[in-house]
Amino acid sequence: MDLLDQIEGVRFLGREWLLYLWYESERMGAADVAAMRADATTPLARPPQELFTPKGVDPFALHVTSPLVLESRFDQVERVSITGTEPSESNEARAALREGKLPAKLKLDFVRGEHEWACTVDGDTLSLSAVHLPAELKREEEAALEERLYLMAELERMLDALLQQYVELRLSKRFATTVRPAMRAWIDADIE
Amino acid sequence: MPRRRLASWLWVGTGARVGQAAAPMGLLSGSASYTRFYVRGDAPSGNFRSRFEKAVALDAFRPLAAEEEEDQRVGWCSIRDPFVTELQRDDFLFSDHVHIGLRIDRWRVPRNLFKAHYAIAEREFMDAQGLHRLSRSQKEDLQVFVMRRLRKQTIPAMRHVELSWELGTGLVRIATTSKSVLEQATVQFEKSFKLPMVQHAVFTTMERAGFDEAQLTKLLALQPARLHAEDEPAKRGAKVGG
Repeated sequence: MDLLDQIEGVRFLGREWLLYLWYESERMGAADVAAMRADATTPLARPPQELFTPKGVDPFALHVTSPLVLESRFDQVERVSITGTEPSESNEARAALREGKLPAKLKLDFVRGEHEWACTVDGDTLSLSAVHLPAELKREEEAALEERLYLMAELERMLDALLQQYVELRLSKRFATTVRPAMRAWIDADIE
Repeated sequence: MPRRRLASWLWVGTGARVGQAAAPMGLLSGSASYTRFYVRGDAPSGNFRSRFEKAVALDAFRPLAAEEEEDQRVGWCSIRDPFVTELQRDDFLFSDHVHIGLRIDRWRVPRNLFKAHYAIAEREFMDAQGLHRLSRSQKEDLQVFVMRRLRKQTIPAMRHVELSWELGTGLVRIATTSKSVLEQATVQFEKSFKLPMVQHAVFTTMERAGFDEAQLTKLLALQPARLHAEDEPAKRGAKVGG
């Protein structure tokens, strides 16, 4: 099997990964995102060990924001785009999941200390769009570019670490015995 | 305002329209949209700097001309200014990075406009020649003539794509998410630098993360997870797992 076939063969994991991030970020909740900010006065709603702590990067909070684009795995024409303040917690989003749709694109906010990133991840190509980086300090052209590339690399490190964490989980027995049933229950649960 | 900067705001002698599509998608500033690629193989070594300089000069952007047959032209330019196409080594090659722009110019004559002008030209030609109909070759010649005339009255649409290559890691960020533009950029990159590149994907991420042969084999054996009731094989007839 050549490299392109290998890439295509597991491309479907991108959308699954986005769903897992959504599921996990909802378990974390907006309170934790606020508590991860450097100037936070409120304590973490969850213990620190339950923050996103993939190998090789410092812990960070992750939050799914608007818009949320869901597509059918079997029919790309079936596409739902949900906007609003908390699209991931809407009944429309949950209904789309129950119909078998998966996130084709997911907009994510990352918070780590005083730094905040935002980006939209494409589940198929892993392209990043609408990437917002933490405020840059350097003014001189070349130094500013270097700083931007460093901040992009930091975001990519967090994303790649999350992807690796998901793939390792997916390859483990725990996925089938614990995680998948929990995700199915989450998909089937009613939103209050 | 310096000429280079002014050129970015006007239609200038190099002949391209700076439209919405031309706006850089932000490796340099603002909100960024980009796709990651990886150069396969070892980091460039030896006298690669002089090799790259020659390659970039050879494939530098050249403006389209109305008389030429090409609909589109792709070539290298400055990452900061699509109108700067004569690049010296220091313009794009830095200590551990290549920062360069790709300029894609394309003639875009609206189909309806072409058809309307062709109909007029056809009528005039038949009247002048005393003909009732044209042969296929006459029609083809007339189409070329009309297209060239229209091209002289317009200017090509321009796209400027930023590209940044980390020489040490092989990571290439291309500031677009458009499939067709990415294809043009990768073809141009591989042609100029004679190095194959592959898109960032789940498989390549795990390869770079250090997955061994056994883990990669296990990864390739994975099937889509059954996360919804609709995913059950009996209902869909699809092979799913997990």
